[in-house]
Order: sequence, then structure tokens, then C-alpha cells
Amino acid sequence: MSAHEHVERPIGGPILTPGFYLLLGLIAVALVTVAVRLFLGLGAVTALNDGYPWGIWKPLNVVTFTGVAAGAYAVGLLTYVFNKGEYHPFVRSGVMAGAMGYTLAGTSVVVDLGRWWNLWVVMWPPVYQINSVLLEVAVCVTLYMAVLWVETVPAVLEQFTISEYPILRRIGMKYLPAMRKALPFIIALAILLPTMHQSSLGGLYMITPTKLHPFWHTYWIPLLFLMSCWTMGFGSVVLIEMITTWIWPRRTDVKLLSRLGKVAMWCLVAWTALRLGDLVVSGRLAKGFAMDRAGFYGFWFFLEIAVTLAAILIFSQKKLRENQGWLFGASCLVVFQGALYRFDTYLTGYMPARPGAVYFPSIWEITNSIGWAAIGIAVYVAMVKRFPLLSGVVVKKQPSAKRIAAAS
Amino acid sequence: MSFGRRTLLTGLAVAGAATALPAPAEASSTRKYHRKPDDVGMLYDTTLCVGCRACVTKCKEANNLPYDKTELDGAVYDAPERLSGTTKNVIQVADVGEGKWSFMKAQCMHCVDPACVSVCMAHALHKSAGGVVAYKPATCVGCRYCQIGCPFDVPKFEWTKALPLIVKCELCRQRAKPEATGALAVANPACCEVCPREAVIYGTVAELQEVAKRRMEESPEKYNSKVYGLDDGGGTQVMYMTAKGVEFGKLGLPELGHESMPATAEQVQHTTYKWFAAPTLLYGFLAFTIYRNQKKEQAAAAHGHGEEK
Amino acid sequence: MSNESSLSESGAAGVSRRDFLKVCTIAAGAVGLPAWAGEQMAANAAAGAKPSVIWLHFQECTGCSESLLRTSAPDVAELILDLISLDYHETLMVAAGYQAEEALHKAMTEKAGKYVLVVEGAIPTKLDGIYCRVAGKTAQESLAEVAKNAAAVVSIGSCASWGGMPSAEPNPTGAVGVDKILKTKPVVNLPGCPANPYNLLGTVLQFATFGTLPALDDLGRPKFAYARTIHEDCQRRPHFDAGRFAQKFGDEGHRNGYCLYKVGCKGPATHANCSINHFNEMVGAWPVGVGAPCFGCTEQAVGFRVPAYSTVDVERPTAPGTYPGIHAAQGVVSPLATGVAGLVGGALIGAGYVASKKLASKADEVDKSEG
Repeated sequence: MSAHEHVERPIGGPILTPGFYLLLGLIAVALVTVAVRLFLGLGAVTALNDGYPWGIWKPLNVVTFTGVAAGAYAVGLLTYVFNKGEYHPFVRSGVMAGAMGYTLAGTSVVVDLGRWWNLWVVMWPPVYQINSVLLEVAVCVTLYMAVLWVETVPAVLEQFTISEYPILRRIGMKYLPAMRKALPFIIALAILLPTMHQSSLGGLYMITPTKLHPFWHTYWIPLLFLMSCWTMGFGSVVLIEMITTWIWPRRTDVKLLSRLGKVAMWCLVAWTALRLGDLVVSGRLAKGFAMDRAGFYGFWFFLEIAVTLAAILIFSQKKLRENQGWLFGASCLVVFQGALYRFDTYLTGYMPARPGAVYFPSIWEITNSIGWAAIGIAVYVAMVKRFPLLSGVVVKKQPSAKRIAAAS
Repeated sequence: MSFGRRTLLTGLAVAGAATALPAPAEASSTRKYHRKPDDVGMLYDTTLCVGCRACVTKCKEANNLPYDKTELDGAVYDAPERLSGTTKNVIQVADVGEGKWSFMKAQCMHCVDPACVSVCMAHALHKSAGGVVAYKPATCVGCRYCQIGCPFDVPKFEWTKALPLIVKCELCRQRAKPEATGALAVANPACCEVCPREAVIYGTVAELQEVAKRRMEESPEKYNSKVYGLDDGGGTQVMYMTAKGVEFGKLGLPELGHESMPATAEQVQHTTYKWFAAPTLLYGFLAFTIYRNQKKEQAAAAHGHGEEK
Repeated sequence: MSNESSLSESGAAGVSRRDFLKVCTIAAGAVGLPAWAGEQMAANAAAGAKPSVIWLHFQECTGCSESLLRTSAPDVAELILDLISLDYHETLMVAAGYQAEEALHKAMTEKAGKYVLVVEGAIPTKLDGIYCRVAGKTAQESLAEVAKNAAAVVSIGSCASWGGMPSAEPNPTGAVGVDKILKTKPVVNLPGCPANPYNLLGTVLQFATFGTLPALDDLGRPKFAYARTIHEDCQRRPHFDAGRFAQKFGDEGHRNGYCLYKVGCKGPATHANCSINHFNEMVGAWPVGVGAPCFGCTEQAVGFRVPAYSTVDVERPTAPGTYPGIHAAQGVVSPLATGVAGLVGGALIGAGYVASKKLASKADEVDKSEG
């Protein structure tokens, strides 16, 4: 086990690189769709209809983004609760990605809400209808978003302590110790909240036994979504670590990442066991194949299982998971698997009570989702360049701005 | 490593216990909403409907809904094809086989224990007087979870409006006659008022069940012996009768079983969050563990490299 | 002839050939025959080939004759004088008693096999039909006698067609229609209470002109008049389609001319052309036109059977009544969006694959350099 450097440093270098301009362009397109949606209604930019009231903004922008953002949760769980201190280097980067992912999900929901100005109800307990799973999600996600940003505060304060501005230095010095003291309790919250809402994101579909295909509908769905978010979280941490190492001058411990992969594998094994076991025991597997369009639903179901098994297979081989390429590929598969499971539950396996409705995202829904992802990447890039979030940053005596710009 | 895995399994067990499944049988007994005899509803009889669409027209008038322009061979008609943001009630036709067809009236079923009410975040959809499933825009955020939850696909959304609403039949409760007694004091559906043949009638659930029973007894050879809605999906206050040999599925009414949609789903949710005990315990456990772990680590660090800066 | 003298009193005697042709053309038009049929009629009439008509009355109210008398194009005078030869009609002829009987026998023998028998009224069958006797003969006897040499038999009105009002429950006289008694000859049924006179004119004139009878439906009714329901051509139909109904007699909807279905109109189940050919050339002179729901008089299963103010099934919902199916289609799949989604998905998968590949080869290099 390598000695792990607990010190995080800013990457440095200019923020406004050509790649960054591309991100800004994508964001601009997304903002235009938001503006149109604001004045002309959701129907003007989306392909949503009364048969499919939830389109890709829900399973992609909300459920998949938070799944990717669950890196903070998964690694936090491992590091703090199971006391695996060696994973500490991944925490801050994960938290940053998490904060971004959740913020994107939250804002995306606001765009998707028909009557967004009424969102105050989420912060006003007297009107709560406590049976609503969605309310639990909304309140929890809002709180967690705040918690994640609070978790990034120490990094910001640290940077303040070495700032050239005296006022920032004073703020940093003053609040950093208090922040550190409060951190365990904040972290505990940061683990409780996703446990609650990630399960609820699946729990949303408990109420639709007739409208969700038997391959996906189960009352175990909260647990399946919870476990699936762990694997997605581990996968996304591996991906982010590897990508940032690739494009920026930093080092990461591939052996450590491969061990993270192994954890992800065990989560996947447990998930698969529960998923398939429940399907077989409850008889829904047979029921699903007896229904109409079994081929369509069967395809997506088997794709999901095939991807899962492929990822498990790669991670289970020590030689493969310690090879950067295979590790990267398998982590891609893990994130794809989570996204696929979420898409299948939210869209593919969803059967409107009145057949006849079709849905495929409009080009504006797609560009909006891309734009939203671009916001996340842009903010993440800007943050890691300015604040100490990534560990293992290679400090050059005088880093050439040109080289870093080219690299990013 | 073995310690880690054991702890992981403990975590799984905690999560598993939190989402423990209830036995389905015990679920319905704890429900908040039950069928009350003086709840109001409608009874629609496909054998009496002649498809005149008086109800469709009158519904639009009574609820101030705009025309639903449908293009047919180049001409434009006010011919709604389905329930929508501009149509709360529609007459459709179903091919029921053997060259026969049947009319079908679609509108909110006013479930006894509605999924839309169970999923709504802030009582925008709620059970109001007489068991009517009513809509209150003031707290509606437009999340459209009601559309996902409804097993009949009834709530509709105004997709092309900047300030949209959820649109669904509220049994014309705005037309209620407070001075009247009985069902009319609660609501007064325009569709039932104009129906030329009493194909759809309004009344208390008890009255309607009585009518259904009488019709069935008078001409048992004419009717499908099932009255849809008596206990389908936990019971609906809008009930359906149809001709012998016609399946309700052909009319777009799904097979839901006897239990309401929210029964099991809410049971799972309630077990998990009962008194908020599980989350509180979990938080306590997490906070303690993290605090202890950090203390340990700090102690180790103090021994090793000296105080962390 | 005796009936000529009665007609000369109406002042319609003596018409020019030109006027006569006009009358024929109008008559042909009025009953839906082509205009050239009028010329044919005029030619036949000029050649003295006017069809002889014998008209028998049984259990009835003479309403059908009354309504026939009130046609004006052609009016009954022209009809009788110029187009047909009405040789025996108990209520229109001046002659009475033996004189009348003589006219009947004369027509029957002189024009045997050529005359048209028109029957008005139901035939009682109980107790050997003692409930209706003319000249000492029961209705059954008279009918059998006159029908024997008739070229064609026409039942006018619901009574003659299927029993009509006299046959209503409990039908004390055992009243039945002509075609129940007369099994040997084709009978044209023109039900209605009263029957629309034009349907008689059309049938008789077609027979007079071409020697044929109109196509009949399975109840013996001419298809030109009884193929469609009242409802299909009703002037109030738009109100039905729009769901606007008179809720009760005298209410606002009733005064506004709304559909009378809800107050018991039997139009949707009643086959007749009343809604197209109104009575006596008066626009709107038919039940629904004056605000009375159709009674269903042309239908044996409806008129005098189904309670007047109850509603009936709509036999054939027709255009513009197009109904959507239970599962109406909605939503679109944009090809552009599909393409873009495919590109984005493909790019992501490709990027993942290429990156894995590259990293793997890099790792191999590292392994080699380390090794």
C-alpha cells in the first residue's frame, strides 16, 4: 500500500481554455431552451406528453446525475464509516463532483417543474403531504445539496488561509478550525441523506405496479436503487480520478482505484443477486415474458444484466482490474449500468395506462441535458483549478501556462 | 478486510430492515381513506350510452375548457381524442369484437384511496367533501408525479402554457347546489345532468350501487356481471357497467386487483420512516462512528507525523 | 263516372296538354322519379293507360286519405283526374250503397289483373273478423276478393302495414297487417301514421309508368323512402351531435329547437323519409319540425309499443360522429432528435472504448518499462 498524500492542491492554470469555451457554448444552447420553456411552456421544447409525463430530464439529469454524484456518498461511506482512510484522497474531488451533480439535478428539476414558482412548498412543512415519496426526495435532495456545498467549504477556506488578500486569510484562519470540528456531524448527515433519497428515487415507482413492467417493478426497488447508487458512485470516482490524471499533471494510485473497483464489484454482485432473486421468486420474470412486447422489454432487461455481468467479470480478475484500460472500461460499464437501470425504470419499462403514447426526447431535451452536464464539468474544472480539491497534484517549479492549457 | 466486509454487510442489513416488506394482507387495514356510503360518484352504463357526446360538450361548457381542435381530412372539428389539458371528459369507442363496439366515457375515476393523492407533495390533489378527488393549484409544483402514479392515466397537464395547471375532472364540484340535500349538495356533474339516457348518473355511492344492482337483477342477460370500481384498485367512486361479453380491459380499464395502489407502496414507506426512527438511529450511528474514527485517526497522526497543519 | 263529377266541383277540370305535362313532371319530381318519367307518364295518360286504383278501408281513421287529400303538387284532383283512375274509394266517392258496390265490381271485372289495390286499415282476425264489415263482408273476405285479380297491392299506413294502432296491446280485435293475410301476392308496405302521401304517389306512379314496383326492404317497405332513419337526415341533428337537448317540453332548449331525443324522439330507430319529404309541401310540416318527438309510427317494434317519452338506441351512429378509440395516439419521435441521441450515445461509447484502449496500451508500456 502506497503512502497516500493527504494534501490536496489546486491544479492552477488558466480557466478559459478552448475546451472551456466549448462548454460555455453548450451551456448557452441549454439556457436558450430554458428561456423558451419559461415563456412557451414545456410542450414547446420537450417531446413530453400526457402518456409520458416524465422524459429524459428525470432519469438522466436527475437520477443519473445524482447517481454519478453519489461518488461523494459512496467514498464517504467507505472512508468515514468503514474507516478506510486510504480512500481519503478521493473524498474532496468526489464531494466537489457530488455538489455539482446534485446542484445540476436540483436546478434541472426546477426547469422540469411545470409550476416551479410553487417550489416553496418543499421548504414549508405545514403543507407537507408526508406520504409522498417525491416530497421525501425533494426535501432530502435540497438539504443534501446544501450539505455537499458545506463540505466543500474547508477546501475553500484552506485556500483562503494562503490567499494574498488579508481579509480572505483572516476568514480562512477564523472559520477553518470550527469547520473541521463540525465536519463529522455534517459528514454523518451527508451519508444519511443520500441513503434516504437514493432509495426513494426508486421508491417513486412503487406505486405503479400496473404501469411499470414486471421486470422492473418491485417493492424492493428502494434498496435496488440504493445499492445501484453505490456502484455508480464508485465507478464515477474511478472515472473522474483517471480522467483528471490523464488530462492534468497529477498522479493517482491505480492500485487503490482498482480496489475501489473490487468494492464496486461486490455491490454489483449483491445488487444482481437481489434483482434476479426477487424477479424469480416473485414470478415476475415469467410474468414479464408472458406479456405483450416481451421482446422489447426483454432486450433492455438482458442488456442491463449483460452489462452488469461484464463489469463483475472484469472487476473480479485481479490482472484486468489492475490494468488501467480495463479498469477504466469496467468503470464506464458500471456507470452505464446504473444509468441503464435508471432509464429502464423511468422510461423504457414505463407503460402508460393508455397505450398509444410514444416518447423520444426532442433535440432540445437532449441539448439541454448536454448543456447541464457541461455546466457541471465547467464548474468542476474551474473549482479544481483554483481550490485544493485534487490530491497528488504534481507541483512544477514554474508550470507553463501553455502546457496546461493544451493538456486540458 | 474481513472487518470491512462484515461492517458492509451490517450496513446492508440496516438498509434492508428499513425497507422491510409488509405482508400484503395487513396493508389495507391501515388505510386512511375508506369507502363511505354517502361519498358521491357516478355510474356509467355502456349499454345505455348512445354516443351523443352531450356530456363532452356540456363538460367543456361547465368547466370553461377551450375547443379541442382535431383535424380530420383537412377539416377542423372540436373533437377531443383523449383526455387532455383541454378535455376532462371524453366519449371513446371500443371495438369489443365480433363486429360489435361499445362506447366508453373516460374521466377521473375518483378513487376511494387515490394514487394521485398519495404521491402529491403538498395536497394539491386531495380528497375533498364527498370523497371527490379535488385539485388545488396553490400548492401544485407541476411535478406531474400524479400522472405517473394514476393507474388510469387521468390527470393531464397543460403542456403549452407558461403557467400550466393539472387538469382533471373534479365532478363539477363548483356546480354543487349548497341548498340541495344529498349528493347534489356536494357536486353536480354537468355530464350527468345532460345525459339523455341516464347512461351516466350521479349520486351517492350507496345509491349508485343500488341502481347497478337493480339493473343487473332486472336484466341479468344483458350485463357483464361485474361492476367495475366496486373494489377495483381499492374501489373507485365512478363505476362502470357494460354489456355481457365485453371485457372492461377493452374499454381501457386496467385490472388492478382489490387493493388500492398506495396501500403497499405507502406501507413500505411508512415502515421505513415510522416516527422517523430508522433515519434518526442511522444518523446517530453514523455520527458516532465517524467521530470515533476521526478521533482515532487524529491520535494516530499525532503519534506519527505530529499535528496535522 | 261518379268520381269525375265530384272532382269537377273542385274546379280542376280541363287542363291543357302543356299544363298536364307540367303536372306529370312535378309529380315525378315530388316522388323522386327522374324528370323524363313525367313525360312518360303524360304519354301513358294520353294513351288512356291510366292505372285503375281500388281503395279499401278497414280498421283505421282515414288519416292516410286525409293526408293524401292535402297534397298540392300534384294535388289530389290532378292525381285522380289525370294520372290515375280512382275507381273505388269509400270516403272520396260520391256514390253510396249498391251504386258504390257496383263501381267496385265493375272495376274488378273490367280491369281484372290491371288495377292497383290500396288498403288502408288493419284487418281484424279474432272471431272470424266480425269487428269490421262492409257490405256484409268481413274485411278478410273483401281483401281476399279484391286482391285476387289485383296487379299490385299497396298497404298504406301503419294499420295496413303491420296492424298499427288497432294492434296495440292488448289488441282486442286481433288486428294484423295485409301481408299477414295475403301470402300469395307481393305487398308494398307504406307504414306511417299517416303515411307520407308522396310515398304512395311514388309507388303508384312508378307502377303506372313502368309497370314495376319499387325495391323493397325486408319489411316490404320501398327502399326509396324507408332505407334511412329519421335521425340521419333530421333538421335537428346538429343539436344531437353537439349534445344540445330539450330537457322537457316547453323549456328553453325546446323553444330553441334543440334535439328532441331526450324527450322521447324515436327518430334514431325509425325508418322513414319524413325528415326529407315533409308533409303537404309545407316546410317543417312533420312531427319533429313542429317540436313533437318522432313517435316511431313506421316501425312495428316502436310505434304504439315503446312508451312515448322513453328513449331508444341509436341504430347507426353516423358521420360526423367519429369517435376516437380507447387508446388514442399521442407524442412524436423526431428523426433529428433520434439522430442526435444516437450520435451522442455513440460518441460516449466510442470515447469510453478508445480511452480504455489507450490506457490499456499505456499500462502495457509502463509494465514493460518497469519490467
